[in-house]
Amino acid sequence: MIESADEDPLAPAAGLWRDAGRRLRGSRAALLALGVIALLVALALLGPRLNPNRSDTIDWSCIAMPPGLRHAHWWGTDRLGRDLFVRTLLGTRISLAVGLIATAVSLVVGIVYGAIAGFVGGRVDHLMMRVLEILSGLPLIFFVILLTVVFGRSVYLLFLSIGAIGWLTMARIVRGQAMVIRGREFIEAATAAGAGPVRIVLRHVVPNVIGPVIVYATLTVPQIILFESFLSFLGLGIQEPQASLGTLIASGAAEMESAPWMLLVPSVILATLLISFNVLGDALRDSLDPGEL
Amino acid sequence: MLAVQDLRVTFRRAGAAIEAVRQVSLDVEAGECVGIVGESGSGKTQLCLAIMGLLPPNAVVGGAVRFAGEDLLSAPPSRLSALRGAKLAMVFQDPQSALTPHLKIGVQMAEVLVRHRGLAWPAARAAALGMLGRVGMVDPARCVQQYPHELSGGMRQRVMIGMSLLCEPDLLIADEPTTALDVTVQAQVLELLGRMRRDLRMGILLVSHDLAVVAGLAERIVVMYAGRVVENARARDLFRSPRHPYTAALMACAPDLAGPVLARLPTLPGQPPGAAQRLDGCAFAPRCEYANEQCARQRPLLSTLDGGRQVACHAPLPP
Amino acid sequence: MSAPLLEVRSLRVEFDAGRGLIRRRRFTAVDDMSFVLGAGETLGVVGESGSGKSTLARALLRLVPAAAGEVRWRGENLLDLGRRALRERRRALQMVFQDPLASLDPRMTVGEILAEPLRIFEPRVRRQQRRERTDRMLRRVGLPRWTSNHYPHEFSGGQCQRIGIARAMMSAPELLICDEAVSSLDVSIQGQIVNLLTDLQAESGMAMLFISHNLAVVRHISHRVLVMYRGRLVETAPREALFAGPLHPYTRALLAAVPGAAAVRAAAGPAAEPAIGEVPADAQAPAAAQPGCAYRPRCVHAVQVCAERRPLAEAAAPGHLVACHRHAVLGYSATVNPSATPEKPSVTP
Repeated sequence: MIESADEDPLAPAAGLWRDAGRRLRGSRAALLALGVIALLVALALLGPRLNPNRSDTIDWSCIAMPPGLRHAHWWGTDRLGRDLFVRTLLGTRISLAVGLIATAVSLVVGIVYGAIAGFVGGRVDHLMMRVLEILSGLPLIFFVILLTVVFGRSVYLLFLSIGAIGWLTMARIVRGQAMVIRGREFIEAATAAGAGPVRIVLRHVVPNVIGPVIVYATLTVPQIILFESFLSFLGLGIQEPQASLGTLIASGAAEMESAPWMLLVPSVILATLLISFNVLGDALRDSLDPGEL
Repeated sequence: MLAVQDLRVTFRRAGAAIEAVRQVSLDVEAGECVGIVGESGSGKTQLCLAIMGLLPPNAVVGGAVRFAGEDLLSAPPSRLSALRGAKLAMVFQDPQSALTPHLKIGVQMAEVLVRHRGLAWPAARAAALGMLGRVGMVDPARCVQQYPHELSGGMRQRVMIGMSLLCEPDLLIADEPTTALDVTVQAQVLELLGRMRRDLRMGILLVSHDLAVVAGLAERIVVMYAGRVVENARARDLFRSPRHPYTAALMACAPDLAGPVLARLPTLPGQPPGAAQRLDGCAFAPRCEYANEQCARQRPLLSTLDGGRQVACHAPLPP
Repeated sequence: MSAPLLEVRSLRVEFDAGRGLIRRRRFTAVDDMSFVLGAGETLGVVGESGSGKSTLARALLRLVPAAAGEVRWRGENLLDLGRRALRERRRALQMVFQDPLASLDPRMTVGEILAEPLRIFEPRVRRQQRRERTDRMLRRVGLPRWTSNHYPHEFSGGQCQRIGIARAMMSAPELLICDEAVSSLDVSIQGQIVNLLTDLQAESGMAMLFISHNLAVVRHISHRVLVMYRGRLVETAPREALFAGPLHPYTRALLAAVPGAAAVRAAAGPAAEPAIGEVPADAQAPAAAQPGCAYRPRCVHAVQVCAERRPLAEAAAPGHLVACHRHAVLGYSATVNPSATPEKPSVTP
């Protein structure tokens, strides 16, 4: 007979989250990436306070000065004498904000849309997917340009429009996952046990779907940051005197030969951010995959 | 013809060593059918894969497997590849996954002959057609043009058996060939195997968790538990009087169609040990009703009793 | 025998066979099934793959939609009920599934899985009491208390099936449907689970519908047996009558094909029924597409009328129904023990 001892001979409950956490902690790359992101976030939030300059302060005495410790222009200045340290970090703040908020928007919209389509299935799913496909076919840039033209330039519009486009792939992923889960026997068992559709979606479908969703969300953040940078580079996003990494890179590119630090500083920050998020996303995917064993 | 000696298969996973097969020895003569019976965790499938050389790369194999005098474990992959399908064939448990889904049946079968016997395609296709008829397919001409997913489970299993018999192998390893099939189809497949064995003088290693499936076909039966052989005897002797408590329990546990209806089914308490568990003493001791002190301390070795049968037990049942 | 708890009348379940927006072929998985089940009774449903037995189980619980017929539970037709009312009835009708691990949510602990029926049907029960009840049920099915804190994938097949049974029993059901509940378990474990089910039934007086392709197990656990072929009822009888004297050619072939007692005794006598043929290619088509008996393509006794008219289930003896045009003529009366010599068909009343 199974040991009816009251002692628990098995190791402490191996929950899938706890397992994932453990695996994640074991991956050096993931820890490094997480650390770097944390550092950048901290820097973006607190950094500007450490520096006496402000983002739009024009210091005529220090135009286009290379990085150094003089005049507290640690990372140099730009063409107009504005401090790059502060501007870059403020730009990082905006890029991060856009990335995270837009990802959150696409997450919410995408999960709801995808879960409904995937779980309900049938004609509803058909219709929803056709709509999705049509929307996917629209060229992003023109869409954003259109919105900008109609509503004028504003940061919030940027958030919304990027998020509104980012949900498409999220919805697809969630729908695919929901369809797989829907066929699994424990969903049938839950129905047979008397659970209603709301309970099933909230307590059974979502927890089982969330793994890939988290991974994809982590990988979406860098994509969105890059997209925003691209838009700003084109002049469609953040406008002067505000800065985002994209605008900084744009103006830095013009000065590439004479004042390379103006390009290098924001580029390095952007690249570091992107790489870290990607590494983290990959590591998350590996750790959340209960496949082996 | 096939001599397995002290075969050991160990997997390394996450730093731990998992012993799937622990020191198994058995022989198969030409034209003989040997049945291997065991439940989950007994290592019977790993045993078959080891003989065929189909284990994953993280498997460590020890011991010897001699086939017609040749050592298979140390043979180069090219030699194994040449042997497989030609002299040594295997039928897998799940016919669905063993057949290539995007190739027609005729092509898959003919390919075996083209590769191993060097036949030209038209001749190979004709031979495949003939074989399908011999395995009892109702409409071979139609089947040759179909894809695996268009066939039923029983038909797919027949195709697999047909494929494995095309080169007239000396040894056929059948791993749970009927588990996925309906009982009526199962009877036909077993009868087919018997017929082919007689016609081709082929040796068969028949693996199953079901004693009854093995009973109809095998002359000798090997019972495995937790990676080891616990009993090895002629089929007739085994069924008349099992000597190992596990064998006796297996026979008692299988509900009978013809005997009296029991209010409670006989059962073995507990469950077979997992592959990763370290075992002191006899692996079966925790579930054995005859277990004593020695059984828990010391692992019984396989000893030969009268009548050419082997049992690994400190206190084998009386005949 | 008390009044039947469950009464199924002419149940019919259809699926879409072909894709395509223009033409949709319908495949009949369950075709005109009727039977009854009383309290404390176990009905064994036997059939091979494609017989529709699993679909039948799901249709009874409305896990798949039924195209026609009635499923009367305590006089009320379940197929007519609205969603809310249906959910309330589910309390009394529970199911144990074939794959023990797959039927348990991998992201929930065993304790949470067992507590779910309580949360659904008795939401007022507080956490402490919930915990006590789940612990008690775990004990009842032979699992230690600490099982609650762990996840399904940490347990073996047999243990998972006990968990599944425990979950089904939490709401004190009056009918338990076991869909191939022991088919994926080792032989030495099967007995444990079967015994557990019979014990639970004896304690609670619930009815059981035991679906399996394993005739030997069905024989030991059922009071009555029902044989299905391609969605249709082929034969139903009390256990003894079915196994000792089956009347339908398919039942006889099924019993003869089981590698059982005869093989073990190594006295292989010729089967009492000529070997059953493989299903020919054209019989793969949905049974409803052809008039006449669904078994005809494989039946050695088939005659003209078998191809023309579908046989209805008629009573050959009290409680013993057969759907075969020729059962009276074929008149099997001896046992089906394959070690016996084949008897010649004789005309018996």
